[in-house]
Amino acid sequence: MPRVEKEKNQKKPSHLKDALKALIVLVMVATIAGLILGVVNIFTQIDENAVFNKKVLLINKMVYPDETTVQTEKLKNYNGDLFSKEVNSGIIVTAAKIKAKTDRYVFVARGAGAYAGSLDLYVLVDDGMIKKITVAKSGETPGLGSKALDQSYLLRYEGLNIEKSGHLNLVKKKSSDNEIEIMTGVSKTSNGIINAINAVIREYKDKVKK
Amino acid sequence: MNKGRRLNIFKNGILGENPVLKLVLGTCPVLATSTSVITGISMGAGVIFVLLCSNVLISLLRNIIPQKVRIPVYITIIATFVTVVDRVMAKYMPDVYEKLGLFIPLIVVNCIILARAESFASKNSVLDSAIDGISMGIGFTLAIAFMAFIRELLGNGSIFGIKLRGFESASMTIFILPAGGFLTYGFIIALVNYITDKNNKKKVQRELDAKKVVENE
Repeated sequence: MPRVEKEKNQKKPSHLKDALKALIVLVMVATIAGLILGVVNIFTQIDENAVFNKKVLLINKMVYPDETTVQTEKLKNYNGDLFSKEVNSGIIVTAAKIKAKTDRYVFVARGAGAYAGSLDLYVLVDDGMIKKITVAKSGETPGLGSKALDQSYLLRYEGLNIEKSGHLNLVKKKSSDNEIEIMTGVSKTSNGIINAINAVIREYKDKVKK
Repeated sequence: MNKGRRLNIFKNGILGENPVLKLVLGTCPVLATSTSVITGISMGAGVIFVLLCSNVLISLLRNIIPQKVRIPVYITIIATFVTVVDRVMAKYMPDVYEKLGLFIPLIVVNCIILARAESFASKNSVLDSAIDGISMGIGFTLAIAFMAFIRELLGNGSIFGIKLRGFESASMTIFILPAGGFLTYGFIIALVNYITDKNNKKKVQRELDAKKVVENE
């Protein structure tokens, strides 16, 4: 009886030692990795504001090529709720005012209900008119859903007077100003686009113009 | 002797055991990022960096890492370097980063890197592992760049993003899409196998000839 116990005692420490060694090595490797990444993070932090500012200037230049230098002012950080209660809705992520003779704004709008979840659009609004829409981020299938994000399709929204128009709807055949004709095969992506644009319309009417 | 061995290790990664064309490893990033030469080469550069660093570090730590937990340790080391590449690319090359997207974080589970760690770096000296890492990385990059060259030329009519007049009008979009990726990949592997087969036959023939000469004498 005592002999068995003795053997047990002898065997245990070696297992424990192995496990302890493995644990120490794992913890050390993970700690060093964490420290390295912390240092890397300091050097590679991206200034989101600067990136956004650059993009706003780029879009402004697309519409008004003559204006090489314009002042922009970030309106505020709309920290839009990503998981909005309304599934089929859009939010404004950020917005900026461009200091020009006319009343000009750039919105980053996120529309839910697209094929890959949500998509982000840059929308330039000048004097209450949508002048330019470009895609900021989308996960739509290349060559299929992404067709709805082509400039030629987005043209349907450009020139829209959002001060006058109300909530936009997708229809098969256009009969009023508040309707946008749907494109075959990309109904889900169109859904995301129209949600984003409706968010811009709502935001512009409710907050910016008040 | 030692020098010759190292040269062999170097050649092995690019020609004899090219990870993409001979071992058929890492197929997923190869097919996905070879749509244009620039994305292909940047993907290759990322893989070279991760492969070199992880091989050196794993070779350095090969006597410390306990056998039972070696895979988690390898993955942690590889993931650290991949995150470094990911952050640096996001900061300094935003355009390329946008195109590569998910495939940079996926380098962590790239079988080329884990295979080299497991089968080479954990058994060989630091310098040998470094040479192996670089050569395997270059082999990967050359294969991906060659494939991207064909796909971009035929599918988009451009090289390095510069449109070529004759090819642009005759471009076939299928080569940019996944189906074209598989087609190109298959044809390139067939070509490489054909060349190696031919070389091997020549070698065998030469040996037979040499034997005959010896017998005749």
